[in-house]
Amino acid sequence: MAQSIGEQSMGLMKGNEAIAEAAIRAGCRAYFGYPITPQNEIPEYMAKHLPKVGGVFLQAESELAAINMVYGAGGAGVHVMTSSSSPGISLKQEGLSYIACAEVPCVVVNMMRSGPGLGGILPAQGDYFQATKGGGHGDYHLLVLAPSTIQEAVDLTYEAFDLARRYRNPVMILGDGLLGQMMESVTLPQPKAPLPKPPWATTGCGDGEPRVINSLYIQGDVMEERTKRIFAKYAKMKQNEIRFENYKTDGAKIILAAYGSTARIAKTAVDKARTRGIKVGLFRPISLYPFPYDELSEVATEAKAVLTVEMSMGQMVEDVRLAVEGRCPVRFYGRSGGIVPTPQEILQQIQAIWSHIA
Amino acid sequence: MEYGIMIAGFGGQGVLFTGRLLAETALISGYQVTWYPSYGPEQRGGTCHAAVVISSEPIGSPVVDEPDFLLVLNQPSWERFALTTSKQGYTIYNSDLVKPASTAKPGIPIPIPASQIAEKAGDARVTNMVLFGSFLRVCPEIPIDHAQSSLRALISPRYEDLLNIDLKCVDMGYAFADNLLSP
Repeated sequence: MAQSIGEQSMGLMKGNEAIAEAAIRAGCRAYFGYPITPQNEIPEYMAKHLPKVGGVFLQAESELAAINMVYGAGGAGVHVMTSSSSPGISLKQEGLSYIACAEVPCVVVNMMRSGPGLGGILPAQGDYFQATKGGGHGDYHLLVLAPSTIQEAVDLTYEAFDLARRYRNPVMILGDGLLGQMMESVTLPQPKAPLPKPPWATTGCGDGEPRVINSLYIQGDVMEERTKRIFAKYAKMKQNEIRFENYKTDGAKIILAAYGSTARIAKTAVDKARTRGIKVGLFRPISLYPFPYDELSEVATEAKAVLTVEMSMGQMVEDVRLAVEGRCPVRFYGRSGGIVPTPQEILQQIQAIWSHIA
Repeated sequence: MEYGIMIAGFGGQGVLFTGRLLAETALISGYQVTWYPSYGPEQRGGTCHAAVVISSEPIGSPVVDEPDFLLVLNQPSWERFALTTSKQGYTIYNSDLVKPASTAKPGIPIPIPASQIAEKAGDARVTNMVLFGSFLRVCPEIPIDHAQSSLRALISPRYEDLLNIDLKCVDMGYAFADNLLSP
């Protein structure tokens, strides 16, 4: 039942609105959330447009309620999503751990803001550890995708529902306040019908066998079996879902490593440095879990230094160090508190490193 | 070609709208564009700003730290941004509200008595459209007729009276800058 949602398929859109529209076009038919800046345009857009395609929008009484509604709708085989920002995502961690264990597909958007604590509403990237290393309790991962432009946010969101269904695992779109609040020109994909309900969906068994979705396994051997099954999926993700971009890394002596919004600012810094004769390029991980270790390792082989830039006190830099394996120094430059680094600031860091190695 | 444009003023002066209008106009003029608003604890009476990047190539940073064009609608924004303008850049400001205190050169200053012009056009509040008109004069890559059609697209026909004042302010701002720059 492909329906046309919204008249324009191309034009200027705010990041949050573009993600919401892309989700609807991908077949999302249920959204549960609780408001928090800087992602409020997502629920606002969903409230207005999801009912038009027969979907359910519900503002829950809390983040905990919202993520458990996601668990329920996902278990019933519906393409479902929620969104929030850092403190709200923290509240959803218990539910995400349950959902990962129960192998229920869903899409979660985190438009990161500054922290720790209630923090501030300005852009930050301090949730990298939480997003990629587990976040909730127990042995599990989310599939984490970090768009750098609004077009990429649209494309990844559109694909995220399929990925969630394929791996029966939560997929996180990890953005930040800058990506959510800015506007950029986007081309929207064609609306597609939701996938048919999967054979495991708990839709009422009638005369058939009961289907059970559960995350409680009291017996050790059963739980271990379950965990191994989940990790077999992560091994498949590592084979199939590694995504990254190399920007001017050929022959580069300095490799910048940055993701999301910071990566696009770093790109401008790379361009500015190149006009000054500095051999610098950018490696941009798009999938943060699974992380492109081998691909970064390859571009770092010829480099004299790697500079990781984040809107945090240094989180992805640990994965960068694991990838580089000591072959060259890994430097770090970060801003926090909601302060967005400028191209000029990053350029100064590049110039300081270049003066040592050139 | 890539330009970074910063628009700054009080909340309620139409700063974000001006940025949006500029972004839509640049888009229909065939450029790539980003628009990034300040979205901190701004409120009516507080200061706010919008950063717009227009480019013939894909855009990296949507953050504008050294604007090629700076539009200043009030004194606090002058204090904050005037010295960030690039050397060859233009600082277009409402000279009825902004008294440049610093002797440092904020790029090429374009003083526009925007409050007086807007009052003549029919509404003294519409200083944003006057400065936008002046901007169109110093940034010829963005044709004024494209700006007029995006204004018509962005403003609901219900507010046709306001639209007409907006269009007049854009024209008068353009004309004033034209006089200023003509030898």
